Amino acid sequence: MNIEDWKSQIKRGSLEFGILLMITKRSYYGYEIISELNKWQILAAKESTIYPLLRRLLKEGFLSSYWQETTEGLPPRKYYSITDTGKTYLAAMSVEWENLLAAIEGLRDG
Amino acid sequence: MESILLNYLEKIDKYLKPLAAAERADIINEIKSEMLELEAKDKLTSAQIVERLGNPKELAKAYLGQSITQNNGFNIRKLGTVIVFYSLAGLGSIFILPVISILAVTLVICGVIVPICGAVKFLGALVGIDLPIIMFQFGSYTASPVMAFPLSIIIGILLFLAGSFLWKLTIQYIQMISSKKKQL
Repeated sequence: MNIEDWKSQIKRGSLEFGILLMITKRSYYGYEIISELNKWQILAAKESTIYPLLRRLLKEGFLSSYWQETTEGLPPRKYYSITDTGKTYLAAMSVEWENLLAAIEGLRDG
Repeated sequence: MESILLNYLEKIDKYLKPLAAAERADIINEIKSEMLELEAKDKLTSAQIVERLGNPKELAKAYLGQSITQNNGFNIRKLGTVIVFYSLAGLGSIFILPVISILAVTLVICGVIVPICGAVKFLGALVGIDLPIIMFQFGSYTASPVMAFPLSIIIGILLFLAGSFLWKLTIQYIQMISSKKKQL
């Protein structure tokens, strides 16, 4: 179905934005990110998408990471935080996002 | 940790070989952590976890896809793999493939013709016609028309089976080459 193709394209572009929006508020670890995103069907993604994406954002310098032990008998977790570069990138994405919304609204109502 | 999960982690580790050891270990630890979270928080079984994470090779590829532009060593290694594959596949296609495929078809056809000839000779003998054209000879042994018929059937079956076997081999060879190509 074409709508599924389109949705997955939308998702591909938006996931990065969504993840950075989350991490700019506080640090998250992988499982948390996936759970949070799962609340919205359009952004729901599996481990095989999220983890490599996080790794890329890390390599590109938008995120930094640290491992933290847990006390609840659960395994250590790798937390991701946003860097200054990441904040700049997020700001730029936000601008483009607003531009996109304005464009769509303009086309719809214009 | 259950063996099915450890097994999965081992496979990922194997497919992540192009990466540096430290990075590989970090990835494995993160996946392990995720597995344990899924077990504890989502109450998934090991089988469900493995299914959710998907084919380990595909998962590893997703990680590697992110690093292909960053690691020069990996690129050269991949180039080497591609060259080797096409060389072998090329040679194989020039020699192996034509030989086994043609041989297979020929044997199958012979497997059918031989019993037919045997039948013809036999029927000829029944009717009283001698057919010197068709002969069952093995070294110095010449079979009588009556003997020739069952012998030809046996030989026919053997040839047919040999042909079928080679044909299956041909198909397997082709499948092996295509799957290797996909792995590139």
